[in-house]
Amino acid sequence: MGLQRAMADALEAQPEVDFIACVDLPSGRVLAAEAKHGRSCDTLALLAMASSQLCLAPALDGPLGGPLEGGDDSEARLAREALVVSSACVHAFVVSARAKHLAIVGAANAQANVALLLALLRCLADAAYDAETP
Amino acid sequence: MKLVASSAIDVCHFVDGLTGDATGELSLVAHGGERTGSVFVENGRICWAAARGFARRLGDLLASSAKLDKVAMESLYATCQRERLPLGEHLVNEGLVSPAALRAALLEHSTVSLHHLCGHSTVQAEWRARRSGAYSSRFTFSTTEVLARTLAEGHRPLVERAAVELAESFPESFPGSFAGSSKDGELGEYGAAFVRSASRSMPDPIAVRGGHLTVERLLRLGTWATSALDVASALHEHSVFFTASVAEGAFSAWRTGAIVFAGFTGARGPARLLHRRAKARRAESHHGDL
Repeated sequence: MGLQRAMADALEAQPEVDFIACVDLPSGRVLAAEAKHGRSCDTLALLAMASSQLCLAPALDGPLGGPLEGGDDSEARLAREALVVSSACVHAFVVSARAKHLAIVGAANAQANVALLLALLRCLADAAYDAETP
Repeated sequence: MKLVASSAIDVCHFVDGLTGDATGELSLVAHGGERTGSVFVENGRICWAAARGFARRLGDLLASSAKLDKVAMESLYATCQRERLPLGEHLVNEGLVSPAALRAALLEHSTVSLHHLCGHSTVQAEWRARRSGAYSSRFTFSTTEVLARTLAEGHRPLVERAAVELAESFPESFPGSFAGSSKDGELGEYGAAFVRSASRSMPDPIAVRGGHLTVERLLRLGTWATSALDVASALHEHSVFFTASVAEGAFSAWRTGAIVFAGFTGARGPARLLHRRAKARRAESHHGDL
C-alpha cells in the first residue's frame, strides 16, 4: 500500500486527527500530506518547517564544542519522537527508525488519545521508508 | 592550574573538570592582583565559598542557628581553631546545630559569596591542591546545586515557586524506569528550573533536582528547553508542554510564567508530568472560580 493511501486511511480511521504529513527533516519539505476537509494547510507548512527543530533532544554526553556561553545544533541529537501538547491540540512527530531524514507529523485535537496517535504515526513512518525504498 | 572566570558558571565548570578525588582551594584574584576569596573543594565537591569582607557572615548564620551569643560563639571558634576542627561540623557534633541547618547555612553563605566574587567583573583563579579529610561529604555540594543557588540570587521572586513545582514534578520517591545503560539512564530522573538571563545567551538555572548533573549538562538542558519551547510556542496560541523521546527515556519542557522547567525521565515520565500539569491547572481554575 502506498504512503498516500496509508495516510488517507489513517485519517479516516481517527476522527480526532486533523492532518498527517511526511516531512523531509533536513529541508522541512512536505513530501506527502493528507488533511481533513477544511483544515488549514498553513499550520501543516509551519509544522513541517519546525519539525527539524522539534525532533531534537539535548546531547548531554558529548564533549563541549565551544565556550559554555555558546550552544548550537551540535549539542543536540535526533529524537525518536516528539510531542507538543496544548489545551487546544496535539502535534506529534515520529522519526522513521530506518530513514532518519523522514518524519511523520500528525495534528489532532486535544481530546485525542496520544498513545494511539503515536502508534498510528509509527506505522506510517515504516510505510514512508518502504515508499522511499525502490 | 589557572582559570579566568567571568561568572559563577566558569568557576563551577572548572570544579566539574577536576578529578573526582580533587581536594583543594580555588583562590580568586581581582584585576589588580588583590585576593578576593576562595572556593574550597573536597573530593570534587564544593565545601563552601568565602569572599573577602564576608567572613563574619557565616559565623553569624551559624550563631543564629545555634542560638549562641557572641561570647559563646567566639569561644567555640577559638576551640575549633586550636584543634583544627571545621566550626560547622563541630556545632553539629555538639548538638548545637542540626545537619540540615548547617547545610543550609553553608549553601546560603557560599552562594552569596560566589555571587559577590563573580558577579561584577572577570577574576583570575588559581587551583591549589591540598590534603583531604577536613570536611564530611554530607556537608559538601554538587556544582549544579551551588550554581543554581548562586544564579537564583538574581531571580529571587521566582525561586520559591520554581523549587515547589520542581519538587512536585520530580519527586525523589518516584523511581525512574530506564532502558539501556547510557549515562542518561544511569543518572535517573532529574529536572531543573531556568529563567532567561538578561546578560547571557543561555538561561540561568535557578533550581535543580535529582541526578548528578554537571554544569555543562545542566546548561545544555536549559538551552534545549528554551529553544524548543520558543519554536513550539510559535505554533500554538496556548501554553505548551513539549517532550522529545530518545532510546533511554524522554526529555520534557514546559513554562510556568517566566520559569522554564526541563527534565529527563523514563518513558512514562511525560504522561506523569502532563497529568500533574493538568491537575494543577484544574486546581488553579477552580481556585479562580471561588
